[in-house]
Amino acid sequence: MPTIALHHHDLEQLTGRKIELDQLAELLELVKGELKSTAPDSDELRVELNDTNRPDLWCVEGIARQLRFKLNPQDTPYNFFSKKTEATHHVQVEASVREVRPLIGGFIVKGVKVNEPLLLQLIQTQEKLCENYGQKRRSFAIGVYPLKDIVFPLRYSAVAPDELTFVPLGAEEEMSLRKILSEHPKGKEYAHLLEGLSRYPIIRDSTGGVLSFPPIINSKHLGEVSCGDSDLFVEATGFSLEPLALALNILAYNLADRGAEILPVSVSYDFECSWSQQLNFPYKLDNSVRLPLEEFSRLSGEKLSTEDITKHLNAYGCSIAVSGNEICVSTESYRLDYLHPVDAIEDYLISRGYSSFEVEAPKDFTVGAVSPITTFSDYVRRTVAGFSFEEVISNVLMSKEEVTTKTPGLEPSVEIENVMIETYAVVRSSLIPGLLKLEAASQKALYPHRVFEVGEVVSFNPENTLGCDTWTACTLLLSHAESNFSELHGYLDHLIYHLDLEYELQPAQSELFMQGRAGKILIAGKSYGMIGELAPQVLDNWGIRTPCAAFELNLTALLPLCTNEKTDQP
Amino acid sequence: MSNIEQIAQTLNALEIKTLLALAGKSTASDEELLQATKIGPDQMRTAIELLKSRNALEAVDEYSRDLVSLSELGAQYAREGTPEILVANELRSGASMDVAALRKLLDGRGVQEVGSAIGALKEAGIINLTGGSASLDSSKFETSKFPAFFSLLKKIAEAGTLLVQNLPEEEQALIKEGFKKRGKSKSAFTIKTEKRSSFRITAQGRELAAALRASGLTGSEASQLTPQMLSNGSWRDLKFRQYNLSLKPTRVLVGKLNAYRQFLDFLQGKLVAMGFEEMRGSFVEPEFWNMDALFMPQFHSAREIHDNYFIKEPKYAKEIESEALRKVAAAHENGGGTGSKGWRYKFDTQKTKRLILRSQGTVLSARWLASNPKVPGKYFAIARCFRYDQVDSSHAPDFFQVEGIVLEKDVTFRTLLGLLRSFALEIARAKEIRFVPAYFPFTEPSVEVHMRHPKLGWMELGGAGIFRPELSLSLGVKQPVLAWGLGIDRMAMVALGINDIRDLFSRDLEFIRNSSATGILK
Repeated sequence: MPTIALHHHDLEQLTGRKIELDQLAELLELVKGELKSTAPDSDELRVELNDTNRPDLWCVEGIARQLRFKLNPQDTPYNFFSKKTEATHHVQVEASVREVRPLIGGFIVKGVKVNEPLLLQLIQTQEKLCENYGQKRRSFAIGVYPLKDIVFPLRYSAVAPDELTFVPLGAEEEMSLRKILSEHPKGKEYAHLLEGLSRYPIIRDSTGGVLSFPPIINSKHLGEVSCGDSDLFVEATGFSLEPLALALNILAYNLADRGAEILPVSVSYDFECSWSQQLNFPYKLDNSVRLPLEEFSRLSGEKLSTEDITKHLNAYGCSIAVSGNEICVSTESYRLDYLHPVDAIEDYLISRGYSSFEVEAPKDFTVGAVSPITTFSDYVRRTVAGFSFEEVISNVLMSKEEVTTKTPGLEPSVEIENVMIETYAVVRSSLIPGLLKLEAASQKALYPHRVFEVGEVVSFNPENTLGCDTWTACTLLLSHAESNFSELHGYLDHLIYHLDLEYELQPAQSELFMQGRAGKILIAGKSYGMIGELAPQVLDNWGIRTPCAAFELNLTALLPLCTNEKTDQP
Repeated sequence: MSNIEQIAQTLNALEIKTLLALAGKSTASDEELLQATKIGPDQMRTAIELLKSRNALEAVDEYSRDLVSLSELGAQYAREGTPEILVANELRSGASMDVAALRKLLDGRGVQEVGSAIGALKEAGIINLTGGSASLDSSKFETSKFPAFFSLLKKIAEAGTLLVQNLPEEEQALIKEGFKKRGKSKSAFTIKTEKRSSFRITAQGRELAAALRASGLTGSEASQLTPQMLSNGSWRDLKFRQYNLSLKPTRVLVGKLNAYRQFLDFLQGKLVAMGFEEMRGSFVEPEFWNMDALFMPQFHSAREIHDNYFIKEPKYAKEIESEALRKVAAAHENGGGTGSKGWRYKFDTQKTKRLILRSQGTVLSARWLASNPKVPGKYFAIARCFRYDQVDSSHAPDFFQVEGIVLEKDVTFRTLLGLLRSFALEIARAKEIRFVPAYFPFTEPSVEVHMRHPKLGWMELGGAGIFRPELSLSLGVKQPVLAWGLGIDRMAMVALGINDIRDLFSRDLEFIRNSSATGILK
């Protein structure tokens, strides 16, 4: 979800209305935006935009446009698709880019006054589009250039890494494409996008001057926009037509909103492609849905008239065509978010305002219940709390060291591949390390310590299609200067008695426990857990200086014995 | 009850006895108090200190005194007689006796220091030694210091300890002489010097004593009710001391359910009461259920919102239920007959099997939808989830999400708002709420409910929406499904009165012992 910076004054100018700050929060609901901060000494606002499918709203122009439909309904429509202009600027795409980065589009901007605020907004929009909508330049990347020194037509082709050199933005000397990828900061950041390619894409003008090495960096010579420029060329390269065209369109509408004239650029492809071999940009996108009128009433839960639907959709920038019982809702080409008729219905709901609907509680009677394992866990938790044990909730994620070398003898733990910090690298397979972690951190707490946790753990199971089982364990730990097996055994005995089961202990060997002071908890010959005095080495590993005894029971396994129910995961 | 009367009620038995004893005399030494109260010296000291701290008495002067008792030798003398007495007894018949024979006789009985006893008697002119034979002047002996000394020994033996200053002058002189003659170590006596105080009752003490008398308190009230009193009925005749309730109690170490868990239990109870049935599942899930089944495109930046933890081994689920996989893939690629255009890309059937730690409880809703849920039916989950987030005061490495679904024949947008309003009223007891358009990748329309918190102002309570038809139809559910989630972290932190989300999973036992979820009561 992008957060953008914008100027209050700029927003007002683009909207054509004065907007008080306390009014803004509510207006921002129209764009699913949230005012994050205001700067007291400047008019800069930070707004978070929540709709991932509306990249047109990730800029001040887009926000203003959406508000304008509501505030100034008789605004002049856009004309760069309706006006039949022959493209005067042209890009030729060579077959060499076909397997490299096949798609390019662009348009010409005339008569805009480039100043610093505009430049900052333009760069911000370009970045937000590439980062959040263009999969960090993978799907598409955008370049903006001063028009004045470029000699059209342009040539888009792929060249060998050392075939040519140019001075990239942010550098002083000519560099080969290979050198840019290995040395230039932007090259290093985005080199992975060209990994495995033997040729790299390059945009040159008809004199051979380099505009850009997409998706990495513009040239310093032809690709540096500065204040005072009035005519621009905007291009995007990538792989898939729709997102690329949408990104270019958004920039075109934005600049048109700032008074620029947008002129088309035509692109010809020297190879067969899934799109037309001759494309004009800005590219008209179809963002429309057809649906029966009564769908609005059915989904909203209120009987709605065609007039009402039309009025509110118009006020949201949508065009309406009604034929019989069917309605077609469409938008300008800066949007591409209508996948299903429900998307148009939501536009109606937002435009009308959620608070204008009378709410209605769900009517059907249903019986509430917790799952059998929860009923069982809660029974055990309340029983053990009654033994004067303090209940604990630990984190599920632990460090690998904590569940291996510090706490030996446990079942192996499922590991995370993309670890963020070593502290949270594995999923616990037992609650014991979490309770030892608590003991290690609580040695100043008045003794005796009687603690327990009932919680989910994960252990490998090759028979499960997920490779592992998630199950519920119940673990009690006792610690004080004279704590021992026998005292804890009393609690185990009492708990199992209250589960209406009979058990026996079978001597067990484990590095976790002291020799001869550990046992498996057997019920009808099957093991459901273990009990023992923690080995002094284990306590020492954790820096614990008070003896501990612990037992762990598998509640998920015990569930059928205690309740005649199975676990209920689908 | 006046202040004094209240204090009087809280005096303990020792204080009452001591104060009443002192009140009779105005000034008394501790000796006198000990005698009057019949309590032990240590208890007395405690009582005096307590009464001093209540400003009921003050120390007036200190004196020192000597206590005499018998040494081991003295005790033997008192029992068997001093050597002088034993010598005299042998000569009492009046006949004279050969000195050597006399010594032999007494030595034979184990009497020590016969020689010096004879010497002492001779020196006092009580026996006569002529020609190796000794005779006793009986009348002179009876009035000499020797029988007096012996009876002093017996008197002390009987009393155990006596105050030297209370003895007659002659006896005091005998003790002194005994010391002079034999030295401290061989003396028949032991002397202990004690410093003792006297006390005077204060004005406050007098008032207290009057209050005690007025309420009939004597200090003989029972403190502990015993099983014996109950069985023999003696409690009926007893007065029981009243306690000072302002004292801090001793700390007890007991256990209880965890405060955060109690908050979650509270939510669970509310949801069950509202007719919701619980869903539970696995921590490890394939991307299919966690995202693809929720119509989140495999390429989309919405997947960056839910940045995931990937499982190292095994990397892929063995299989995905084929019918669901086919329909979901089709919905992504071209809408799959759901009335949607779909996301229009090539669905990756390997990526969909990639195992991750579940990032959202909605994974359970997807699984439940795909396994013939009841209609009408309401479902919820309190699910531990995992996000690839930097851990800080507002992000825990793993956390609980509360969410679920509502299946009813004709749910609408108005029902959706109604559901959220019920949550706001029932769970958060919100008085003022607001609905705000929202975005979730798997619902359309989507809404957030905000509530006005008395202290924190407007805050988000939860989000909801109607599952996209691409989602519910692909999982085999024809009617609209309401999906909802509650932002519980903020609520939990308010309920527990904490500011750092990591404290919900605290591993500081004292902190856990001291935290409580009283917020759920308000």
